[in-house]
Amino acid sequence: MKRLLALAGLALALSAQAQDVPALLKAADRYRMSSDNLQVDTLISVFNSDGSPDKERRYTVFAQAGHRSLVLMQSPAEKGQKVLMLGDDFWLLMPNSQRPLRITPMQKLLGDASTGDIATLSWADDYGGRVVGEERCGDAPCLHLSLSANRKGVTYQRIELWLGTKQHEPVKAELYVQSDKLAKQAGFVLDKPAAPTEVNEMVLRDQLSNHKETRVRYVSRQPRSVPEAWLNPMFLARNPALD
Amino acid sequence: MRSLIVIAGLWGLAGSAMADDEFGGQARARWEDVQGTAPPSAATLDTELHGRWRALSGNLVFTQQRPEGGAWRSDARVNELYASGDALGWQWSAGRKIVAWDVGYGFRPNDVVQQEQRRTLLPATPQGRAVVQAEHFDAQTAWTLMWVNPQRRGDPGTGGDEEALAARAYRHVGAADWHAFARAGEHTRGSLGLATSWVATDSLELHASARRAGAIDVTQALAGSTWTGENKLSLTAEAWFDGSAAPVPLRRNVYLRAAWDHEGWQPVVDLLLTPADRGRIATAALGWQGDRWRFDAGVRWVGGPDEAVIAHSPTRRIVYFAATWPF
Repeated sequence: MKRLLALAGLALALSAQAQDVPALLKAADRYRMSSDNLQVDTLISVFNSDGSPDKERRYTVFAQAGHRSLVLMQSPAEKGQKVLMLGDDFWLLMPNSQRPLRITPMQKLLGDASTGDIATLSWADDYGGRVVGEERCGDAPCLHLSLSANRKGVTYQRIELWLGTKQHEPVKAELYVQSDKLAKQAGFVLDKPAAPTEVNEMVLRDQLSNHKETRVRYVSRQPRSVPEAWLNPMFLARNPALD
Repeated sequence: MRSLIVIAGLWGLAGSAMADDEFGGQARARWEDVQGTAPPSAATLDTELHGRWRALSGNLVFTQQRPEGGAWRSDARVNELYASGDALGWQWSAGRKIVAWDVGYGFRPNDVVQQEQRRTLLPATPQGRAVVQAEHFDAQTAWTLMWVNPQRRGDPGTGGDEEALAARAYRHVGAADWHAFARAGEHTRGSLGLATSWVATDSLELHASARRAGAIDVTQALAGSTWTGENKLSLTAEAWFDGSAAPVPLRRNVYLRAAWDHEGWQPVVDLLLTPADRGRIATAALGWQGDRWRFDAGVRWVGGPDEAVIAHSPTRRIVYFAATWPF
């Protein structure tokens, strides 16, 4: 009888945890996406597998409500390139061309730090799943969540995510592509480990091909709603001033 | 003298814009070894500047070239210089401007304002057309109305050089982009066109474009597809019909391209075929993108059986190398 009661209790606890997944993801999102509409300046540093520096890139991301993002490449090697993401629809705009190129979700993955890694700052709207259980992340206890994408245009179809048990800050993640291969392992560096308020840096370790490490540093975040026309690929093809 | 004043003005524009971080450009050194009768082998240094200051935008290229056995010579070209602004809910532009509308890679029948060079060995900025343009945008649609070459009113220019009115309507509908085009030229008269680009799956994009000019009885059409895999391999295939091509065997074309993106290296091979006479142009190239520098090298072969039109082009083979430094 005791065993039966314990099993029933465990089932109830797991059910409660499953219902909490959207709330947990919303709480975790707050550490990267502090507002529905945001301008984020990002510095990407790529390191070779032996730890030597490979390259640096700067990006400005306008992350807007409704799965809409505009990424502006700011480094000299890429200056003038833009990637527009409206839900599952993506365009690449090259400098000195008035021709927006419609690209597939797979083309979005090209490059060391994919634009999906840079522009995606939230999980709650795109993923659902279950709480696997409580685990240790180094010295601290973590909640392990197993997430599946609920729309096709996201960069990663499956994510194994570990959150802090008390404040639900993101700790680490495993990112799986469409074919269910592990593409990257992610670690999150927080501003104040004891009482975190935001993610300062995301560290991505490639597991698919080159085993490089990409550090995505969020240099600044500020609330910013951009005009509707900025999210029209034909407007962006005019190469307008976006500041 | 007039071009010198324009160039000096653009330099001033670039200098002023530098303070606002709206100035940039690139320097590219390239060397081409040509087998055939033209163009000559040459070493070339291109310096491209682009800038924006208030309502003015510009793009300028300085070229210094030394043909094999010859002396260095210099040239400057204004690719773009135009003013733009908002009024009455529309965006207005006037001046020399690059206009590219169509969706294809190897052939673009609906680039009805200007046709840029396609399948170039290295990316090149085309020279824009003189235009007066009005555009309107909302979340899903865009409208463009354009008066092309207004300064050539009454001139006997033809094709892209004639005075013309052109219009484009664009709508984004889910996974597809739709474009409709209309153009009325002073001499070539009216033409209508349609184009689409559709992301069919996570890996596959399909595109098509067609244009009909009834008065001169010309039809042009293209269909193509690009597939990209998780391994960063991209394959492109296109087929097109160009009713305006003068030698009949050049009207039907097939284009195939494979590119791979790996660790900053980008090997590319492509092949253009004219099935009617088995003419072919094949290219193999390798690019490397560093933190700032980019290097490109490759070779293009032009050939086919004796009866192929392409086989009689003045260029038989080009080997090239280029180093590009953006700033």
